[in-house]
Amino acid sequence: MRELLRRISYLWNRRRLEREMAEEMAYHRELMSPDRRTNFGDELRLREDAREIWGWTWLDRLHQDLTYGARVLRNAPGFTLTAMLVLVLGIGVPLSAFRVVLTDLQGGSVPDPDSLVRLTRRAPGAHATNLTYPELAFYAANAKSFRNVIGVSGGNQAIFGEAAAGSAPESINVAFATSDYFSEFGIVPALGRVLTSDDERPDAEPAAVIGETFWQRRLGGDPAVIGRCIRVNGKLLRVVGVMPRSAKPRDEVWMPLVRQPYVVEGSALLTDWNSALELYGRLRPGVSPEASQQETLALAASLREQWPDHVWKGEYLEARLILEFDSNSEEFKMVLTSTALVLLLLVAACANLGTLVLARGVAREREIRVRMALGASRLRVVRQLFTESLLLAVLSGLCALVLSTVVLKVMQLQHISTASLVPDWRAIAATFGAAIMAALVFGLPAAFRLASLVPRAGRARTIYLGAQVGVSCLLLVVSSLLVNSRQQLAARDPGFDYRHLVWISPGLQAHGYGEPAAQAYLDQLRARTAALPDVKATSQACLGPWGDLHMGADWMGRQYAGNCVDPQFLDTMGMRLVRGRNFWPNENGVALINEATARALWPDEDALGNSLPWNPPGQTVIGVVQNASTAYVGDPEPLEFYLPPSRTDAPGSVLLVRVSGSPRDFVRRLQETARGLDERLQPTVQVVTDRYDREVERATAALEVIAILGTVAILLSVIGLAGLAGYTVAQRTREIGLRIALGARPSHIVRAILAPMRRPIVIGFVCGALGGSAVANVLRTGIPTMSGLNVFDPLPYVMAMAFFAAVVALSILAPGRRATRINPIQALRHE
Amino acid sequence: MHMSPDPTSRTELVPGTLILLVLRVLDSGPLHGYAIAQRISLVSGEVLRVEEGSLYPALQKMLRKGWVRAEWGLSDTKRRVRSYRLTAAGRRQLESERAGYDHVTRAIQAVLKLA
Repeated sequence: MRELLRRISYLWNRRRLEREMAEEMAYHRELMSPDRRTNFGDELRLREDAREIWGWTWLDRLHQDLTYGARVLRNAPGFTLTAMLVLVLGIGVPLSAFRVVLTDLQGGSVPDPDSLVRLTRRAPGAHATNLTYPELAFYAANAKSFRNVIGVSGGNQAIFGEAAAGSAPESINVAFATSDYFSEFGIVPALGRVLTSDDERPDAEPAAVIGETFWQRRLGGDPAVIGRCIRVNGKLLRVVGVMPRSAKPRDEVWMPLVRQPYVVEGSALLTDWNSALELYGRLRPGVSPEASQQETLALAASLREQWPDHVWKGEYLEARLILEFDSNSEEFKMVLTSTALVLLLLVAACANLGTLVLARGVAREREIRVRMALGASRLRVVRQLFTESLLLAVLSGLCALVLSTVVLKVMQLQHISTASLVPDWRAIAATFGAAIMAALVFGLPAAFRLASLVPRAGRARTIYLGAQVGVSCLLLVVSSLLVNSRQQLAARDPGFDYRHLVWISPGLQAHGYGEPAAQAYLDQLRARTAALPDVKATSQACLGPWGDLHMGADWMGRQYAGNCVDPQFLDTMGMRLVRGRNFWPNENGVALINEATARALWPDEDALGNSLPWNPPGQTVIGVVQNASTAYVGDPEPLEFYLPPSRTDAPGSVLLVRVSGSPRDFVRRLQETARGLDERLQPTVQVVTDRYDREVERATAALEVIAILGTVAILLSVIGLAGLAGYTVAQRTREIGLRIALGARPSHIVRAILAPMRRPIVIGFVCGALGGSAVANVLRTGIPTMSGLNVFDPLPYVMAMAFFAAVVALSILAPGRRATRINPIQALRHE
Repeated sequence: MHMSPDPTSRTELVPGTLILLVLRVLDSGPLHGYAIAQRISLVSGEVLRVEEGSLYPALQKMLRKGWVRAEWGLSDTKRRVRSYRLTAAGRRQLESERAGYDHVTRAIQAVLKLA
């Protein structure tokens, strides 16, 4: 330790100490007898030896290498700029993605995430993601495994604005949460305070926290808003704080869950069994999620004794860590695939630079030989060359950091991301980690190659070139597969008349409607709607087509989407019965299935007359309808079944309306009709084609991202191939001149330039195509819209190959022309 | 070990002993670089010769280890000279190196006598 201090103090004072050493040696020399003075040896050398004792010489060499490297890079601006362009793209694009995802992953910065679990209902054969308030209250009071049970209900539609006439009310989303939500999810208010248990007391003034983006957009980002009152659904709420934009849910207004009935008139949320809350639990120290499941199994059984209709047999609350990634889940595969795709770009950039550095090194052969002849060891030369690469990589890392910040700024301006513009230590570590890794990959093998006594770029070049061709081809194949599937999506008939459909969800449940009242309301609404001009048909169903809510069954590893619908459903949707018959009014114990379901469940026999196999067992199939993907957009093989409605479904049901003309014109009219019957309601009207357009947009967005990656990769390939061809020509000028002199035709010359590229291009292309189809396969399972994607369709591959061939041709165009115009006489004098 | 055939001529130092010798010489009082070399040569009856090329690196190493301290003073000729003084740590080091050296020489002597 002391020794280290002495060494550092030497480093600090080294100028003085070295001068003193020189003085000391000079004195020594003077004292020596003149005949012995020659024995003293080279003083410079001696001083160097003495200095080496302190172990700082590496610093000098690094300094030397860096200055030399900087000079080399400055003297070759073409190379430096190309290399930096490649590396900045290669690091910057993945870095931007990383920073966006990082913000997402950090959302809320949950303290101690290892004990925070999401709770969902599970029983043998049944699963539900949401729970009701009575269950929340029951488990919060009785479950000892949890320190806290948190309930949240987000995305509730409400009207924001002054009640005064003339001001335009705005539709917003309100989230209701128990007060623990804020502390357990580590939410620090951007301003003011978050909700506390005091706000939950019945005598407390109704308090609200507003979202930061809403605060800025709607309230002008005025800090004086704290303490002021806002009006939600006509009710006054006191603003106590601003929710940070980093919080994952983007609701505009947050309120205590127990205050939900205050703004939603007539709500029976606190007592009825229909609400849908998201539940989270904070495990007590030492309690595992499995142990909590054992406890909730017993608790649910006791709850079932009291409420046999509402609790399943064998029910328990499945507890899953909120940050746990199920490595088998589709989501995990998607994240992994996207990461891999983005990182491939870095691989391509490294491979590309490797080629460039090698090609350039061949031209620097002479310089390296001179250095080695002057006594530089091989290791020293390697270190020198590698320092250059490292310098290049670190500089590019800096630029990439700037680039990614610009990208984030652009995304922020477009409201895509809320990532912080100031890079945090993770982003910085990732940048320079990537830069150093890149330098190792592209710089070190090249440096070793060049410093070997026979510098030949052989295998390293093949690998580099193969890698970048492979990556470009992979991205090309994936994007052309996606283009293909998008075209198919646009061309595919969903199997029902989605262009003329709207559905209205009056939200009766939230307003405390019971079953008979809800049914009466729906009947009335339906009668009034049917009387509107241009309405062709109406139907009552539990779920609107392509809505956010889904139900169904899991059977033999496949998901079957279900819905309960009345006999008018088929007519309203424009679906066709293939065999059997439709429901009769008020019929029970029967089911309709579509052709895909019939094929999946009874491949060898007639489906009619069979019973649906899953739990609860029973409904007899009375009809088979034509395939229609009503649950998810763009599923070419939709597994769906339809049951008749039961009376208990009424409060949550929606009304489907088929119209002639544009369905968008009906949104306001339907809303008015619904509110005309009960003005407390906040009905949601969904135009079905909007959903379709949104899905197509999402697919297009995925396509765009891949296309950007693909374009950058292709750009890199062009730079790399052109650079390589250029160097090949420059290096073989004499040989080409000789060939021309001997009568070679231009095609021969071009073939000679292409020769060293042929093998890596072929290998890279094959690997890229295989990888591309694997990636496309994962994408297909991850994005429902892409499920029609056919990886065996040869067209995308042929297109990718043709495109890449064009790219190769383009990149060797300039060097090729130069080569065929070589004047043999001049070429033979060359060098 | 480079032993010259003529034992009376000047001899290279046995490797590894230079630091021990310098420590011992400095034990009697601070000296400057040239004086250290002179003294070793003198005391050994001009048998041992200290190469300047190894003396200065050795001194630097001893500085680094904290066995000696360097201080500037004036020579008899009023020149600025740097002399080296043994520290407490240096004295301990001298003891241990000396004991180690004695141990080894005794062992070598024993083997030589046996032969």
